[in-house]
Amino acid sequence: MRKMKEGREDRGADRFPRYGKLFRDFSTLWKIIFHGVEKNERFFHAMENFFAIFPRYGKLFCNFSTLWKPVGMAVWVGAATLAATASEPPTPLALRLAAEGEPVAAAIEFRRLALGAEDASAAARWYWWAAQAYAQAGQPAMSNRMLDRAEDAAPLALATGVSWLRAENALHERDWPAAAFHFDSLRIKTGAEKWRDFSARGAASAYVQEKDLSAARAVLKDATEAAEDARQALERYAAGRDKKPWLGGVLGLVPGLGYVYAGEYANATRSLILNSLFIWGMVEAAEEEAWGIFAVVAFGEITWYTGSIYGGVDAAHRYNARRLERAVSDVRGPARLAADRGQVPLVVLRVEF
Amino acid sequence: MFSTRIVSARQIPGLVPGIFFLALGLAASAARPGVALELGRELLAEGQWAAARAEGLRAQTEAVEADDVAAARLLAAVAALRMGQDRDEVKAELEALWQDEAVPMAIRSAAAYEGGGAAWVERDRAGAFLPWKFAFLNATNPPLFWRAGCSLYFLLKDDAARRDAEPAVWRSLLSCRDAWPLTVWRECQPRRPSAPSWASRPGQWIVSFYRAQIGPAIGARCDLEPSCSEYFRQASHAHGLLGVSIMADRFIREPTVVAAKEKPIVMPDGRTRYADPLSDHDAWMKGR
Repeated sequence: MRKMKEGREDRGADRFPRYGKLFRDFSTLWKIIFHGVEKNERFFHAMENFFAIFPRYGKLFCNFSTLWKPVGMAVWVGAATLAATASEPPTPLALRLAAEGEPVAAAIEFRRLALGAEDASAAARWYWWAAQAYAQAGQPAMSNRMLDRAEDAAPLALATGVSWLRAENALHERDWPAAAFHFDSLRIKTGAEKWRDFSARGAASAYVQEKDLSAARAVLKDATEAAEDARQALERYAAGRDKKPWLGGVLGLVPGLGYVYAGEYANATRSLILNSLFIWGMVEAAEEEAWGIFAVVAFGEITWYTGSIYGGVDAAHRYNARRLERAVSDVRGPARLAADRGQVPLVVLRVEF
Repeated sequence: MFSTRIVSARQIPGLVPGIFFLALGLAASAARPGVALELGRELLAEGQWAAARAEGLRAQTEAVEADDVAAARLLAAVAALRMGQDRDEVKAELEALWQDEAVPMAIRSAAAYEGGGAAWVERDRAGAFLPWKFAFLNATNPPLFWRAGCSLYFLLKDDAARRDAEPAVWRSLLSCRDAWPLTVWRECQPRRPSAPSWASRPGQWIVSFYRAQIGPAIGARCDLEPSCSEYFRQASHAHGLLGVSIMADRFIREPTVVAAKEKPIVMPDGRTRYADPLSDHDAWMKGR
């Protein structure tokens, strides 16, 4: 049996000469760990003599010898698990709060970590995460304040992440020039195609919001072939025409026509019916000389009629807003940046679709 | 008499800007304040009262130095005051702080100023006078000194009896009046609530009548958020008589908005409504 085992070891070493020594070492280690006691013949002889004198302990020894392997394995696995657990950083409370949909509470916890951080770069990272949580909570002003602190703590250390969050905050605050500037900064800083496309699309969407289509075209020109749909969406928007609100108001003088101008046919029908009913009521009340009823119905009719004019203006604005929103959405595309929470406290961004 | 005009904490002289020098007071209390205290101070300055209160309470349990404990107590009390929590309890805490001679003077004077503001809200002149006088006479940092003096000035200006009873304080106030920055003067000046315009009043009457007499009988029927009565109230407040036309437009649009099912909002009672804020329909009037 022993010869067979030795033969196997030799074959392994011969087949993989490069690993031969390692193989032998491993084999030796294995023996030491699991067969060390059995290998020690002196020890065995001593034990045999001992059991010959004290036979009642023989069974216990045999059990111990059998138990040695699983116990040794369990101890080894346990120690390895403990070591692995000890080397993992503790999950911050902030991450749990963020995962539970409490971004403001998470931001406060990130700020606590930043205030307690020993070095400036760690503080900057925690402030960045606080900024990200505030942005998630829809508080762009607070998010920008945290980004200021991150930049103060470690200037340029998180340039990409800071530019991205500032751009998103500017979009939220409808500050289109600022959004375009930060997306442009992101575009300049990043080299990867995916990132370049993402930032070019973001900058272009901000320019579209600003109605600066030539700037949007120029930005998208630098993007890759993958951004062709954005270029097409931009051209579609440029080819379309906005409705004129003043014309909507004038058409609204004829009940419902202002809504028709903006393509809201159901609203137009409702407006026409209500105005017709109230005008008919006014005429009937006047014919009956029921002036009290006439006054009430006339007030209602004035409401619907002025509503038709206002609705004509507002419907044109609504149409333009919807058209712009669609164009911005198409130019921006489905790609979004996301911070990888699994990498906290590091700031690792990835493009998601 | 301006005391009858006070309706909200925003009109209290110097109460909201008070957080500025309160922050300074807290900073002065400890060379290296604990994380909770520092974070709480920041949150208070940002107007996040509940979070600042939580940090104040946390700092009280974590603080080792007596000065830090006092600063944490002040932080928690001021945050509770802003949150509108039990005023008597908060006032008692502030009074205990400013009357405690073991507490650093920066914290005592800040607590006195805040305590005076809390009494002022309740039109308690006597309750406001003593702490403000203490803050004015003992404040060590200029912003607190200016605001305490300015607030006290407006309190005494309309109270001849107390002014005559405290001639030395009044003379001091007059002598240092020139030192107060104009911004502080404006902050501390009691503000009158702006009266609604005549054009917005008919709309407000209609909404009040609807809410008192019709709404309870027919129940909540609107599927949009804000509800139609609230939308009309906002529209007539912002645009006067034009609110009627804006409301008519909404009545016309309501079925279309509900059918589109865009921007759903789940209300606390579990009902789903669809967002249709006034800002979506009058932004173009404001040039946005």
